Amino acid sequence: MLELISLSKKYGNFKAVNNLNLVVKEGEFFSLLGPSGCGKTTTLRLIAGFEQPTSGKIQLNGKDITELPPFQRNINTVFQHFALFPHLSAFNNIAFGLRIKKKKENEIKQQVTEMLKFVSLEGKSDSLPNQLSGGQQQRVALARALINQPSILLLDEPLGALDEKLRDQMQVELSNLQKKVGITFIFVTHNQEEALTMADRIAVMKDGTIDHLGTPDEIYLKPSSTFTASFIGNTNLFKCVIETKTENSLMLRTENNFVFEKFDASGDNIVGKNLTISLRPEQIRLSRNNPHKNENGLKGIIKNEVFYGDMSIFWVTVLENIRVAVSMQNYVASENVSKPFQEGEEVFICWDKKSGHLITE
Amino acid sequence: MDTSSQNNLLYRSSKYYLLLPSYFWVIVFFILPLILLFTISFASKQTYGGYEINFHLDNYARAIDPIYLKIAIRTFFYSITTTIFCFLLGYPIAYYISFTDGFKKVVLMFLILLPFWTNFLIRVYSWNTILGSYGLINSSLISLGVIDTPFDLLNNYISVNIGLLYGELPYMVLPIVASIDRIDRSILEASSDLGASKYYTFFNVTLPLSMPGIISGVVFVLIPTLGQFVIPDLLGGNDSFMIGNIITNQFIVVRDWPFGSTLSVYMMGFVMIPLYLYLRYSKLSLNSVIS
Repeated sequence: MLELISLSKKYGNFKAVNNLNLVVKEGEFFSLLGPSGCGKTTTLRLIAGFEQPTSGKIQLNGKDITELPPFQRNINTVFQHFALFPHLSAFNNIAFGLRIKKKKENEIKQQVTEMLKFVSLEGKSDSLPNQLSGGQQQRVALARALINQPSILLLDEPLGALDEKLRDQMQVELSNLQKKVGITFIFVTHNQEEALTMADRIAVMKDGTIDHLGTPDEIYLKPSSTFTASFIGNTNLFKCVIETKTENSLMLRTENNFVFEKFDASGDNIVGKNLTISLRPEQIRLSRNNPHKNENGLKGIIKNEVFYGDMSIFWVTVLENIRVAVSMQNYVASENVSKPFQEGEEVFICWDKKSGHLITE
Repeated sequence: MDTSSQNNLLYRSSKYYLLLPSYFWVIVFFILPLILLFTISFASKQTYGGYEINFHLDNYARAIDPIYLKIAIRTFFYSITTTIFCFLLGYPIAYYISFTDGFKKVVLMFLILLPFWTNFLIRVYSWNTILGSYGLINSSLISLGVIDTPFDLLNNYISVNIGLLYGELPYMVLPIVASIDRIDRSILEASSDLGASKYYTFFNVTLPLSMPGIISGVVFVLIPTLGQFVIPDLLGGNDSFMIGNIITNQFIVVRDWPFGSTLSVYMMGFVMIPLYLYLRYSKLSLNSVIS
């Protein structure tokens, strides 16, 4: 178990990490997610020991490791550009940690050979890093770290240096690998898709602190802030005020005086309160007919369609100048993609009164 | 022929025209003098510094005389010790400079380059005022009462070695700084991350990865030292003559150009060996380091 207790790191007046508290459970695949400059990499470097915190503590399994240099921490890192030793073969790169521990040469040989097999690089033991492909280098970097059986493996955007096809494949490989070895993984990324697909829990970071901590579902479906809501996936955000309230429903008024109903039985909200509703593009549908009884509807004009192959995003202008993103699966019956709606067409955007997530800030 | 390949041809030939000035430079200032030198080495000396080109090997036989061999061996010995001392002193300096940053690094690099702004002769000669009988070191020690009679620091083996070390040190430091600068710092972090102490990281990562710089430094120090004649002339005594002194003497004092040329040809042959090794090894190490 790794605990970060009121951890701060300042560079001059800039607070890279600002009073961060976090507990990462044993065996967890944890992701630090955020835009560049949010402090995620600094947090990782503090955990690894490459940087010393300005204040705060780091505890590993109950032991304070804040002051320990990197080489005395039972934590290993997979670097962003892998940082393989360019003068050593794949075999010697992987054996590096064992050589430091002064293991016997035949023991090293056996363990490294096993490791090479584990990451499917059997034939590459004598290759130098520059003779390996990006994916192979990444696997050497993983093997080099894992062979030391660390308590925690830190990964600094390890998929960032790979091309997209390989990245998709490595996402699956990484999560399988993590399940197999059972070591705690802490994974830094700015790519929300990577975090959503791989992590057990995600900490969305902003300005050196955690904005929202939760499972991928929670973070996607119930973001606690507009920052997290708009950082993870696409969303439409509308500021509203609660106009009236019944036992299980609210009437909300947007800034441009559109009033609509939202079912909410939580009872947390009072009349007059300001909040933001987040409506995901996939929670809205387009229709030429009036909305159903259980739906809200707004008339608008399709300004443009962005075609992604399997789906399209329609940008619809409603209430004169508000742009709303609506996604729609493309149904491909034959070679021709059937296009149900045309740009410039007048349509209703409809969403279920149950849909939408309310954010109070 | 379509236009694109015509353009290509034009482009390719224009590339060669642009190289003409450098070809001119190399031919006039390097290749022609070398051919001349090589030809004169087979000539015989005439009176008043003249020579007759009659293609014989007398000069080459004369150069193997034990007197010259002894000086050649001494030259080689000086060069080796200078290179070793330059490395031992230069590597820590280079390492320190490479791992500082910002303004301090600029200042340190400036200090390394500063001596080049003063004439080499003057800088070497100024060692006289430091090492001489009434120089800085001796007069300080005498006035402090440490010694009564001054140390013999000048015009001997010590002063020549100090002069050579002083003159050649920047040529060792600069390529090593460049090669340590080129090492990705995350590689050093990776080493520490995998459990290596600073000591282990230095000997297993930093030192091997700075090898290209060390090799360049060794070549930049070793080869000029083999041809050095100013330092032994100004700081050395009768027994610290190097092969460079003999060659300048043949040309300027004795006016025996053929024999001076012969010694130069021998020297060049000798210099080719470390240069060849350098080119071979640097290519190897560059291949393995640059990805």
